Amino acid sequence: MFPILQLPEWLVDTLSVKPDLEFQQSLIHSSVNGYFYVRLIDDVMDGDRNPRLQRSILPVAGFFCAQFQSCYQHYFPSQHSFWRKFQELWIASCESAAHDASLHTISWSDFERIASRKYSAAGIPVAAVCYYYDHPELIAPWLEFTYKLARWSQMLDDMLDWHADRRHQRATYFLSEGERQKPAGESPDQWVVQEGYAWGFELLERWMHDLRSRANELGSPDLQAYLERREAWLLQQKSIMKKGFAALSQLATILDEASLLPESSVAKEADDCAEIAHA
Amino acid sequence: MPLQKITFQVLVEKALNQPGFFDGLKRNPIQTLKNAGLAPTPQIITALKQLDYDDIQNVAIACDPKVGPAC
Repeated sequence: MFPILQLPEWLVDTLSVKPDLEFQQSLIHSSVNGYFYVRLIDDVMDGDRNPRLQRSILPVAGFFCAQFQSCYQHYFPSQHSFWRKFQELWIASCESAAHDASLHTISWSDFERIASRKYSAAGIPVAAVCYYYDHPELIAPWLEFTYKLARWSQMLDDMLDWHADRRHQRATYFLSEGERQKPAGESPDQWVVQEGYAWGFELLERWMHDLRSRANELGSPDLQAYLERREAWLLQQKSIMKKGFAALSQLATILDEASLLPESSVAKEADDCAEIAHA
Repeated sequence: MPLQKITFQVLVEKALNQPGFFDGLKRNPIQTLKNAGLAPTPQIITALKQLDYDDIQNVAIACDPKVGPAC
């Protein structure tokens, strides 16, 4: 789960200020509503839930959007620099989501330009903290970290959802890379099982190393602890995939050796096997 | 039922979305193979008994979009 609610809090903890709890509660309220808004739009665009129900609740998106924005109006006057940043991040997020949905294949540069930008709105509460506590110089490094973490999270999602994405014909960088890397005649599933997952985890591990180094520079112990947990979890998933895909490949080989016999012969084979199966 | 080999793609589909197939291979491999149109030879049954089906099930859980990344 992307730590959209925690990032502003971790940032505050690095500042020598007395935290304003009411402000931080407002940020959480705003981000929860922003998350519901993005989630609703995303689900409708993905089309993997009940389309009729989604269409009927789509107008609620307006409520979530208003709640998301109005929290900030209480703290920043209309001419405040915060609003320029707000517009920049919010529009980047919307543009990237729309652009991402229109792609049939995703290159590395598409992924770099779009995937992490889809999460741009997650930088809004981060920027709000920087302005509210008068540390605008921290906006750039924290947003850069947010983008890198977003890229990591997007890649992880793409890897774990690869089969559902393929079934629903959703373009992702992971599956697009599979199409590019797999030998001719091999199915995308074979690529994922035989090499794709290992390639993806290697990339995620490398990016995590970079994230941890950046987190160290940002000076947040909670952020570092979070990344440590994510890294441990990643290694656990890698091990699960490795074992499971090895068993699946083994099973594919076994079943490939199985003959297609006429049904009349199957009964006799079954009798011969019964003893072994019940041993 | 048309008799045809189980392709890798079909196998992955079953692994991630039809846990009953692997439960069948584990508990009643002969019937499950027959249902899939494959001949259950002694060698194949022996090989199937050596597989760790929990490992395959764990991948299905990890790749379930409804579950999502934990932590």
